[in-house]
Amino acid sequence: MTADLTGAERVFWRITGWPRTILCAGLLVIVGLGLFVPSLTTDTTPDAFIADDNPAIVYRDRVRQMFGLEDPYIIAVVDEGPDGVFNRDTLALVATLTRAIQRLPMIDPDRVTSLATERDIVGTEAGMMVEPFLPNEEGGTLDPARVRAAVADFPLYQGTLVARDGSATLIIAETVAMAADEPAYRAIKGVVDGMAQPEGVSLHIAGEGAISGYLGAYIDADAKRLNPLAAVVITLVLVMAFRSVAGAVLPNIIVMATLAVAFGLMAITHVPFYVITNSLTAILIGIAVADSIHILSEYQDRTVRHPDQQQRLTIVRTMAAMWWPVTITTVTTIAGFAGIWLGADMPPMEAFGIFAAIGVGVAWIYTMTVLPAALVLFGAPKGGRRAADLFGPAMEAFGRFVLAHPRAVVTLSVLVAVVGVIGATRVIIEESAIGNFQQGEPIVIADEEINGRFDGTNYLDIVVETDRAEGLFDPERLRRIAALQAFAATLPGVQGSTSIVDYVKQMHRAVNGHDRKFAIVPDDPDMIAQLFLLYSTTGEPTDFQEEVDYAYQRAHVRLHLNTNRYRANRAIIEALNRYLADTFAGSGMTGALSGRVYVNHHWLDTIAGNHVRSVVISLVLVWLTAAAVFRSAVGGTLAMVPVVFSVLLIYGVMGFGGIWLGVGTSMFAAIAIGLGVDFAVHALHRMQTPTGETDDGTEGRILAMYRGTGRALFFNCAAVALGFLVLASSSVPPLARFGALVALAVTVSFVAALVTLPALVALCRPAFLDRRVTPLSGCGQAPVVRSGGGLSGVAVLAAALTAGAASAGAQDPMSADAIMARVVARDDGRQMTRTLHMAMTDRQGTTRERETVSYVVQEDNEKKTVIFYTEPRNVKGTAFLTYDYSGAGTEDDQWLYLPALRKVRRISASDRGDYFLGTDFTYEDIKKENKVALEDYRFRRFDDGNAEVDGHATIAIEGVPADNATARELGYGRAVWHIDPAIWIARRTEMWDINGNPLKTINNDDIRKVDGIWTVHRIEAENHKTGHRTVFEFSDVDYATPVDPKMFETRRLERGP
Amino acid sequence: MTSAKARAPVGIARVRDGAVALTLSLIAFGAGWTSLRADDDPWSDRIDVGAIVESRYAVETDDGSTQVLEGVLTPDVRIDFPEGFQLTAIARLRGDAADKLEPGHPSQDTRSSLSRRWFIGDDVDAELRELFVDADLGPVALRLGKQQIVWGKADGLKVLDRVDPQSFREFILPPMEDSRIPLWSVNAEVPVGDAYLQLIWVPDRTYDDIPERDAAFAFTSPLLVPKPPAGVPVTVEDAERPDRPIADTDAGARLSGFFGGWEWSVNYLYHYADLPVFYQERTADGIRVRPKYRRTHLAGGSASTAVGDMVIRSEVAYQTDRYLTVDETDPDGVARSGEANWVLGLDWSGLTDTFVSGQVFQTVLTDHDRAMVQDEVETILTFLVQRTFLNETLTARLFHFQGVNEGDGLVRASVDYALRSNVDLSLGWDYFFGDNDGLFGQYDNRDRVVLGVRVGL
Repeated sequence: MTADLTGAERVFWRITGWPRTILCAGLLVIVGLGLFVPSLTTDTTPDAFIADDNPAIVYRDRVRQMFGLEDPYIIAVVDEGPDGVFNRDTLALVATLTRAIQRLPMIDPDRVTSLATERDIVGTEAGMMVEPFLPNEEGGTLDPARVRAAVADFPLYQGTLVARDGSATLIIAETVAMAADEPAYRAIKGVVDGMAQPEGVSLHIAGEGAISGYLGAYIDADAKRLNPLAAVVITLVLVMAFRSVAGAVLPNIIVMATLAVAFGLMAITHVPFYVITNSLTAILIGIAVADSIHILSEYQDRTVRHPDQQQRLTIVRTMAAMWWPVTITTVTTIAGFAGIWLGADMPPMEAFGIFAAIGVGVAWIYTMTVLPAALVLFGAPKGGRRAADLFGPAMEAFGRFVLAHPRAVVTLSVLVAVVGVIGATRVIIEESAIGNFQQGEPIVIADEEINGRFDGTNYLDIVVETDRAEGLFDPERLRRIAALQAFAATLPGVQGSTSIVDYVKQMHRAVNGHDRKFAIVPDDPDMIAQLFLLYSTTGEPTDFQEEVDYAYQRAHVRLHLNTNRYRANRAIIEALNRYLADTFAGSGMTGALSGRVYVNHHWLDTIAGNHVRSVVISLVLVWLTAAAVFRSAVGGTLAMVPVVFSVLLIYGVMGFGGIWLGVGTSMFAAIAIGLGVDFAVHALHRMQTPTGETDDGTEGRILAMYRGTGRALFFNCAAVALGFLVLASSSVPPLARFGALVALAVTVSFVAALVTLPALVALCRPAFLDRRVTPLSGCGQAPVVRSGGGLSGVAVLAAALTAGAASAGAQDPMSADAIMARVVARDDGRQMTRTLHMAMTDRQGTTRERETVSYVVQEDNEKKTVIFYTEPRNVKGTAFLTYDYSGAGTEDDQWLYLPALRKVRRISASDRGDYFLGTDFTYEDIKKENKVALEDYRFRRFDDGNAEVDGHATIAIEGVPADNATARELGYGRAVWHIDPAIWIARRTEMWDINGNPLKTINNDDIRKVDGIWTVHRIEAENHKTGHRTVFEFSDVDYATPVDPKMFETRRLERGP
Repeated sequence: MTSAKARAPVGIARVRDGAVALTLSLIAFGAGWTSLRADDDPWSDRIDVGAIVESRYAVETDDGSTQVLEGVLTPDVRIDFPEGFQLTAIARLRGDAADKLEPGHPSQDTRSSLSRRWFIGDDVDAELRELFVDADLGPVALRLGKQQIVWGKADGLKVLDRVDPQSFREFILPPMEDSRIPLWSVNAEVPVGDAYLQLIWVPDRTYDDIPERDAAFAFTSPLLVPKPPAGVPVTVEDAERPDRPIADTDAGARLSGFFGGWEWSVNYLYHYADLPVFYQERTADGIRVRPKYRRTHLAGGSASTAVGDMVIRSEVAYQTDRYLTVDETDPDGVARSGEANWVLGLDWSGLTDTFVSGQVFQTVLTDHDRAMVQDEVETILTFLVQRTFLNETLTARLFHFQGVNEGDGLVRASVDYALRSNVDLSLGWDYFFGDNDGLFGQYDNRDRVVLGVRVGL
């Protein structure tokens, strides 16, 4: 029994021989790695999107250390009443909230800023005094009107701490270093929610810290909802496809393994779970199931075709037939994810790419081992009469339609692609952190409120460095900073700014009786130093920590922007950079940008580059894989058509639909490429497979593809697309868009693979489809080309028929084509053994002789030739082996054994026009042996006056190569054969090179019958250009004795004839 | 180094001498038979006798001295028996007047007694090169006897080709067929599905021929032999040879096939590495070197395919136990590491009559220690260009080896001309360059021009 199996079948036979072991091992792995999953950490901070060594982050961290800045939580207290917040209750609320927040363990009490903590600078007789706006806890009366006046007199706080119209005030809190955002957010929310709010007062929480905490909550909610939903949806698909429990359950085992391994490894390697990792689950579920759909589908078909076959054998045969396409699609999908991994330099995207690739790889392993094992143990869904039979004929009808109008289909597809390209040019790159939330979310409302009433919570920082300590006491420098602030205020989007200069101005005013005209930078540096000294007597030493460093050398200017939209802020950043470069140059000061807005800008800048890079890498990797699989560049390119098509269409949708290309959406393309190419690969692979029927045209195979693979592809597409559509229901808007885009892209790929691709194949009839380089099931031979021979045979017949019909007098048996056809059809036996003596004489008359023994065997579509050199001793042992495949476009396999190396050397299939081992015969001459490849030439009868050669009557046929490429390949521009119609062999052949110069003449002499076959025993070739002559003398020609097939093995080359 | 010269036990010497004598007589017999017997005697078809006569003259370019002046006769006979098996015997008689490659009478203690050469004076040696029987037992192809077993697809340097040892008397310059030492082995090849499983057993405990200290191509690179610190006296003991007849034999298996245009193989060999490990013992009166042969597993594979005008070849071999020389800090001067070797080669024949080939070799030590003389990753690049002229009678060839780590290398340029069918002339130039501590650079002063004639009889 096992002797009848092919190699692949034997492997699967062995696998299915240990079903329990494999199943147990598979389950162990799931459990083992799954145990790690709960220890996954999450990282929802926006900084997670930037690699730790990114210069912007590094600098930002330095700046933070310098000035002690952290991402803030912003609590807004909004009072719509007539006094705004300047009433007792509201101010008391601010105070209470502030203290409550300060008491929270993860909040740094010194870094809470509100009306309750900030101090006013008040002028006194002694100079100035610093006192808080609101009284402390113990004692002190609260006078709202005084507070209002004080704030009104301190421009620094207007728009930043208190709304300019007084309707709201902020409490800004920062966490202690290393505190996690989500618990902090929840704690603050807890405090806020627990506060009794007076009438007309509303509280809002916003700010960077809040965003990141909120996202964490989103992810949890999403995970709880999306993943079960995805599982349910996919199981439904499976049930519909297979109508059986096994069909639904088995693929889910693969899903579990994929998820367990991918996330388990993520936990083990301490890679955190990022916002986008959330989408990985739904994706992996869809992909993991796809392969098993194809295999189960095939299995069902086989049980219908061979109902009595033993189940294990059917399973083995199914796996053997399907393992190759399943592997190819796995590899291409991995290639797509690898493109993301390699193309992105954002850690979450890299993690996404690599763990997705790992998950896909694991799915493959389980599909190859655990699936057949489980099938054997638990039985498999049998095929049978089912409603799904509608699919087959429906697909075929669709296929016929497509094949009937291939040109229309291709034109339409091109038009759609053009539309896509136009849309692609309109795609804009844009991102906004708040865009990660849905419109009605409290955090969005909070963000709108705050950015509407205040100067803005989006901070862009400028760090100004002077060249020495206390450099900031220099009024010139301070004025420069003030000018910078003034310039920044002119930029649209910059609502306000704060810096040490504002404090200096306020202090100057204070010591001058709050006279407004002293709200300027003093001229005297000593004065400035004194102001700071005065402040320090009543103020806290850390009061200016955020604005200036301890040595008064570096200043921090904070710009308040009201949006975190990338494009808007890009303009601001570019303008600032220009200003800094122009005005700060040579002044002893430098300015550098930092802050949340800048960091976001920095990495978003790279989104376009990342996206393009990952798309290009994915495309290249996938193309390489497809080309390697089909061993043809044309095949690779055809496989890419549906995918490129779908990606263009999605760009079009994004462009016309105004969907931004941001962090979440930028990954869609690489994923869509990796997934979408599967359809084309399966389709092309099926088209390569002959159906087993005799009349195997390209059309026949395309239709068979529709009938057979079309159904499986449909469910494959359904599973994957639905998996992504589940993602489209995510709470995080960018993820939802991402899911929808990929689902759309995958569906379009599927449609294009079933519409555009077959139409293209029908029009182009690419050669690689005739070559089958994967093992066939059911026969134990080395890879053999099938149908290629049939195709070229049909071509010959067609050429002969058309040529015959075209020539005047329809059925003239002596037309040029008819004659050449008879020459080609001449019998030259199924095998041959002969000895050859070669004599090569150069222009000077020196002759070198060689002797060889050769064996030839002609199998159905393959001609094998082996030549052993026996004389002289110098070359004895050299051997040459060729497998000549009759399919057009399939290259020969050739080997050369060199005794000096004692090694068989694989050589590349020589060009047909190259000269064979130093003789005057080309490889084509040797292979064809007095015949020609009819498709290479256009023939006509020719009367050159020489009607006989060596006393035999001959007919002269002239041949001109069919096109320039063939002419260059062969090396001939023209050839004339003098055919002897009695034996259908050319007695003399003359060749001219491609420039029309006489090239060589070949004479065939001593033609006798051996074993009933006309055999040439002497061939002489004379090269007119080099003056070199080659004479081949054959002896001991034997067609009858069967040749041991072992003679044509590479291992035999060393042993000799 | 001083070395003791071992003498084989008398009985074994007799067997060896007998084998050589047998071969030479077979050849004589065959030659006589074919010349005397009538043409229609079936046996005259079955015996094939011939010989190659070669002569080479190599001159060192540094000082014009003669490096090699040798004549070699390689007779061979092949007999096809009617029972379906073939007997092949190849012998070699070589005389080198310059006597620089193996000055005097070199010791043969790396050779098992059945594989030794027979010296006639200082300059001439005779050797039974190969003597084996090929037989087909059902599907199994069996080759028994003294033979060359070659694995791998690399040119010039060896990755998988470790079954047979090599004679380094002329470094890697001679053709592998001449420098490889054939071993007495059992070699069986069994078809397994579409693939072939080759099982080999090599009871012949023969190892690499390392040239003596005073030979032209003696090893001086620290990568091959430990370099003693200056002024310290060194004594070298005889190598400790494995001598258990069964337990110290080598065995291996290779599974190979052709699939989808790819030739592939998976190889495994359990053998004694053919170069000894130089254990060092530091004593009060210098360093004592005790060479010892150590076992290792070798597992690897190869794959090659042809794509258009290009052939891609690759080979990988992992040896589990390699013993590398370390510097003075280690007590026995040797540390163990696994070693992975791989090569990737590209052959291109896109231009008519031209062949271009490039290879990248890498050796990676998996348990590298800073103290080891060999770097963790050693890379060698090779580049070959070859072009034929005049209907392949004239071949010009350039082969460049470049060691990346030390920056040393070897350039071999040659021109071969087929003067007659059976007469080949050749002119070649071998040029070593680079750091004297490198694999190639150690022969920096051995650059030479070689003139050769080869006649087939």
